[in-house]
Order: sequence, then C-alpha cells, then structure tokens
Amino acid sequence: MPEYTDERLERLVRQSLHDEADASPIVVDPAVIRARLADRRQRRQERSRLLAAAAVIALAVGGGLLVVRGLGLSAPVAATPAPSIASPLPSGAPPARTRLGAADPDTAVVVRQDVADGSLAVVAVALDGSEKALATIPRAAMPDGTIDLILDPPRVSELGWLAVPILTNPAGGTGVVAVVDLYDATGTTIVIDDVAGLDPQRLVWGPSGRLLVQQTAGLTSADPASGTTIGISLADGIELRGPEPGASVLAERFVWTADGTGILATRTTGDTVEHGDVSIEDGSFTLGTPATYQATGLGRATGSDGSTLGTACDSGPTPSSSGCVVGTRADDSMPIAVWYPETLGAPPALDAAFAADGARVWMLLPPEQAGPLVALFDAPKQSAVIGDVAEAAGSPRFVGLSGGDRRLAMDPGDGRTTLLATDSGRRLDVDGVFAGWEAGGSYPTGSR
Amino acid sequence: MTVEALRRGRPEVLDDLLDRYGRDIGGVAYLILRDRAAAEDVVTETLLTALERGRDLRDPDALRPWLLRIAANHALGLRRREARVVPLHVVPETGGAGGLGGIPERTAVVTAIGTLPPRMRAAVVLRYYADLSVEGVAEALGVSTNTVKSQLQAAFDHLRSALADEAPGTVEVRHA
Repeated sequence: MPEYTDERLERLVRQSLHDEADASPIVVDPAVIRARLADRRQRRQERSRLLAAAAVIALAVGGGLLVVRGLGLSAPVAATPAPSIASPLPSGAPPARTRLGAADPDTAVVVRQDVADGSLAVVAVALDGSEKALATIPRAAMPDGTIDLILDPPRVSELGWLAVPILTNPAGGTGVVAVVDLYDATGTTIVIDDVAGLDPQRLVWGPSGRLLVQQTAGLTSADPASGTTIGISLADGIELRGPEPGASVLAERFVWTADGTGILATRTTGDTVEHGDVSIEDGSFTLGTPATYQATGLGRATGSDGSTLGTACDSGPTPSSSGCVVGTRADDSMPIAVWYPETLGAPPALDAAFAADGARVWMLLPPEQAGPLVALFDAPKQSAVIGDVAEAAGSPRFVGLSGGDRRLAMDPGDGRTTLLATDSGRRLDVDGVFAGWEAGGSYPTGSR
Repeated sequence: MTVEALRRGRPEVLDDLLDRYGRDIGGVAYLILRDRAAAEDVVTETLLTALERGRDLRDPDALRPWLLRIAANHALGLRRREARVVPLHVVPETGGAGGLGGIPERTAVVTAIGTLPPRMRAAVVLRYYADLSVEGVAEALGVSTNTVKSQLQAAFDHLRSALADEAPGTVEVRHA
C-alpha cells in the first residue's frame, strides 16, 4: 500500500479537484445575471417607494410608531447591541414561560421575508391555512441593516424562543443569529453577532433554553431569557461531536446532554479517543455516555436505539456494481439495517427521517408521474404511502415532524413549506421557511 | 479597470468578471455543492454581491480571493442538505466486491472529499483548488488560521483513511 504523505496527498487533492471541476465546467449566461440584477433593482425601487409613502403618512400624523405599523409590523422592535462572548446579552425580566397553548398543537411556525421592506415575519400557520403573526425581525435590527439570506433552518426552542441564523456579510463569511420571543410579540430582537462561518448546524437549543452558537471567537452558549452568555473553551484534544458513534471529526450537528449542562464531545490523547461530554460552564470533560436531548420539530438525530439514519453508497469497483441504500446503523461495528435498497432496481430515495418514535422511518420516494410520495416504513422494506408533495425545482426533503407524527413539514425544494396531515393526507403549501412547531416538546432522551 | 468599475457599481463589469473569474467561481461552487444548478446560481449571486459591495474592495490584487470568498459563503449558505456525512465500512446487500483497489486514486479522493462536512470541504476546495493561502481560507470562512490548519489536517486524515481502507465496498452515509 502506498504511503500517503501530506505532500503526496496535497498533490493528489489538487489534481483531483481540478479534474473534477474541469469535467463539469459551470457555464452561466450573462443575460441571466443581468436579468436578475434588473429584478433586484426593481424590487429595491418598489421598497423605497413604499418606505417613502409610509414616511409621508408618519409625518402627517406625527408618529414613528405608525410608520412601523403601516409597514405591516405588529409591534415596534428595537435593535439591541450585539453581544460578544465577554459581555452579557441585553438583560431584562424574562416573561413567564408557559406553553403557547395553540388551539392546534401542530401549528407550524414559518419565517418569511417581507418583499417590501426586507424584514422577516414569523407566522404560525395551521393546516386549514389560517395564520397568526407571532413576531417580526426588522431589517434595521441587523448590524448593517441587511438580511441577505436566511440560513436553514430557523429553530424554535422548546421554551418558545426562535433563533434565525442570518447571513449578513457574504464577503466576510459572517452572519448573526436573531433571537425573538414567540411569547412576547412586543419584545426586542436579540442579535448575536459575529457568528462564524455560516454554521447553522452548530446552532442548537438545549433543554434549559440555552442556545449553542459558534462565534468567530469560539463556541458560546447564550440564554436569551436571562440575558447571559457563556464562552466555552475547549482544552487541547477536546472536540464536540454529533450523535454519530465515532467519526467525531466529521460531525457538525452538536448534541446537548439531557440535563442541559453539557455537549457531547470526544477527548483524544495520542491514539486514544474517549467519548463523553464537556461542561458548558467550565469546559471540563466528563467520560461516559450521557443521556442526550432531542427537541421535537426538526426530526430526531438518532433512533430510539441510538442508531443513525442515512444513505450508504457503495463505491464498488465499477459503476454498475455501485449502489445506495437507505439504512440505519447502531454502531460502527454493526452492519447496516437496509430499509430501502436502491440497488434492487428501485430509483433513489429523495430523503429519509426517523419517525417520532424513533423506530419507524419516513421517506420521500421518487414518483412515477406526479410529485414525490411520502411513505412511512414500519420496518425495513415495509412501507405505506401517506401522501405526496408538489413538484418543485429542487429536491424535496423533510424539515420537521410534529409530536406523534401527526404533521410532517417538508421543503418541496424551493424553500417553501409543505405541511401534511399524516392521518388524512391533507396538504397545505405555504410561503416561508419552516422553523418548528408552536407547541414545542422533546423526544424521550436516549443514551449515546 | 475592472476593479474601478466594480467600486462604482457599474453593471457592465459583470461580463468582464464572468469572463475572467466565472470558471474559478463555478469550480469552487460546484466542488462544495456537487450540484450544477446550484453552482450556477452561486456564480450569479456571487457576481451580483460583488457588484453591490464592490466599494468594500480596497486591494485590487485581492479581487480573485474576494470573489472566491463570496462564492464559498454563498455555496455554504445554500448547502442545506447532506449536513452530516460519515464513512462506514460495510454495506450488506449491495454486492460491491472490491474495495478501492480497482478505482483510480483520484476518483477515490474525489469520493472521499465528497464525504467531508461542508465547511471542511470548503476549506479543502479553497486551499487546494482555488489556491488561497491558509490565511485567505481563514478569512473567507470567518475562522482562525489554526482552525483551518486543523480542518485541513483532519481532512487529510480522513482521505488517508479512505485511501487505505481495504474493506470491501467502502461506503459513505449521507445522513437524512
């Protein structure tokens, strides 16, 4: 076996990447760029006209508040100074934390951008199409007054806070996390700035209401209710990891312990890798396999037996011998349980997600003629079709499951949200990015 | 000339930027996303962002890395799927008889790079495809140079492991 030194690998990687890119050159028609530019400028002009019209109304009645309301916002929202790791978040008496108590516990929360003024509207949407405004994230609350892109997905916490990762500086590779209280429509938007490198996978709510955020200066846990942040310093050899057994270096979605005091991590000493968790208070490492926390709404990270779900592709010796399966695996040493074998002549599955019980699997399967099909697998290779999803430009995927799998939320592939009642197959397509369910909740904890 | 036109926000500069840097931008986007349509979208968005923020570009010599930085971040922002990818060792039922031995090294490397998490992949692409310095990659991704170095080292460790794996049917798992 050849020895792969860093130098040799470097040459290999350079050549491989150039081969790959050269084999698939990306060609863009300049007319497409000019058309999109013209569209943007037109929308900006329309926005300016609306703002100017609103300002005239405000001057006429002598109140700035009306300007805000005139633009469709439900409440005045002030931008707060962006906190750093060393300084606390804006403090204030936290509102009483009671459940939102929606009439329908499966009401979805979506975030959509107002075309006119660029702000973000947070809206509760029921399956009958009725909507309720929950909060607004004003464009003016952003450090430079712009919201370029919502990084998927916004996340509702079990305690009723919403965190929206927003790209504000594509050139600088940084963004902010805007946090709003869904219990208090008049509350301020808390802005955590200097969020590093677009890491939405590292934006994770914990069971105690703290939010894990990757800032440029390091990991931070923020508590919007108390207005505090805690910087988490990791000792050499300590790395946070996701729910996967092993392969810690590749994990990107971090996992809180069930008691909310720590994050799953590994400690590497020489060739020895130990599993445990690090304290969010002092960064200390504790050996073990603590019970983990999984909030409902955006899907389970692991199954009820701790297994992970994914698509395994065999890079066999020839393309014809290669193939993919959707499967689960409980441990590195275990074989994959194959739920959907794509090598048996079936077209590839589009997406898969654990059901709420962690023992069954939802799948989006390719259609024969119409839109993708939603199927529930009770066991490997045993499924029933529940509904379908409208065809869109992109590939559909699951973005959320409500408690007991009563509702599924999917992105049909165009950044919108499709809600599906699993008992009746009733479907609703709505504008906006899915953020969670109004009722919150968490899955039974599992040991990992 | 290009930089000056960019700073002034003159739309006619778009054709020039596309002609000069479109291939590099598209390459970075495609290698991060592995999706042609999405990569084309990133090229468009990158040039429009450059036009809107051209006044921020102070060093004319930094135009290319600046554009690639914008492209990488647009690509990472678009990358909503395949967030977690881990390699496995055995897949039953697929019948793959051979390991990597019959596959050219470069194919194996490309496959292994495809299993890296998005940000690590972006670091590899910016460093070894776009030839940005470690400092340039760090600036592009909003992280420290030490983080970039450790990501590149971790990526190499992963590649080394993938290349050395002699188990039948090396596979990857793309988590749902």
